[in-house]
Amino acid sequence: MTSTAKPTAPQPFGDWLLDMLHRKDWSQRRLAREAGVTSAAVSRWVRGMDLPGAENIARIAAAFGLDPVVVMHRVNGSPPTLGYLAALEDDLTEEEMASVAAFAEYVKARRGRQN
Amino acid sequence: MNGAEQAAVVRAIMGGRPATAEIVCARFRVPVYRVNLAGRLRAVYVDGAIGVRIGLTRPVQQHLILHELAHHLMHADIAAARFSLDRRGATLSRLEREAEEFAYYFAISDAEMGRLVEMGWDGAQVAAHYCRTPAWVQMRAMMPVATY
Repeated sequence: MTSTAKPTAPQPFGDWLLDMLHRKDWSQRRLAREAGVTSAAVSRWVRGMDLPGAENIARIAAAFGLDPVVVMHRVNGSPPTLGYLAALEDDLTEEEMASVAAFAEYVKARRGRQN
Repeated sequence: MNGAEQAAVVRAIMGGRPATAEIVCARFRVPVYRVNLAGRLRAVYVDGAIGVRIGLTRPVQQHLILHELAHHLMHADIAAARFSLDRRGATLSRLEREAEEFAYYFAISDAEMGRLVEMGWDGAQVAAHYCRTPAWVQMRAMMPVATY
């Protein structure tokens, strides 16, 4: 079975953070103050030299007024919407592959009904 | 981010409160469906949704749902990931190991594990409290303290 359309490459966290700062017209120092972290930490995140851990994800989210899940997805680089089916193990039976395909159709149909 | 660290992030997002796998999935807007899966398949992750085989015991379901959620949280951008189908006896790739780590460490953190040991709880007590099997508890107890 082949993959469906792949998601576009996610924006690096540092770039996203910089975007957010521009949108809010905040300096890195302001974010540091609002989030209760060091300026050095913010600088490392912006430059892509480090990623925030659990506690700082929550702090960044609170500072920006965002759901922490949004920040977490940005850190992980996972897109908020998905459109692919992962490749399968080689030794799946045809019956098993059909079962997965049926589930994929079921999910699509449920989403179609909800929209 | 490894599975244990991702588990810590999700715990923080859940406010550190105990939560069933379904509640956690709801928080992340990942629907969970009980479905008929053929052959050896026990759980499947497809396009932001989780399917769990009908008829599995609740402890097994809880672990599988968290495992699949980990794929959603950690591996969704990897187009060629060979992980969506979890079946008994599969050789674990890195992605599978991370998802398993997440499922174990989310259910019981290292700090909680330490407390349980201090309180002298046995495997059966822990299994009953956390809705897992004694074998699962044994596996969790053998896992190292997470580093990240």
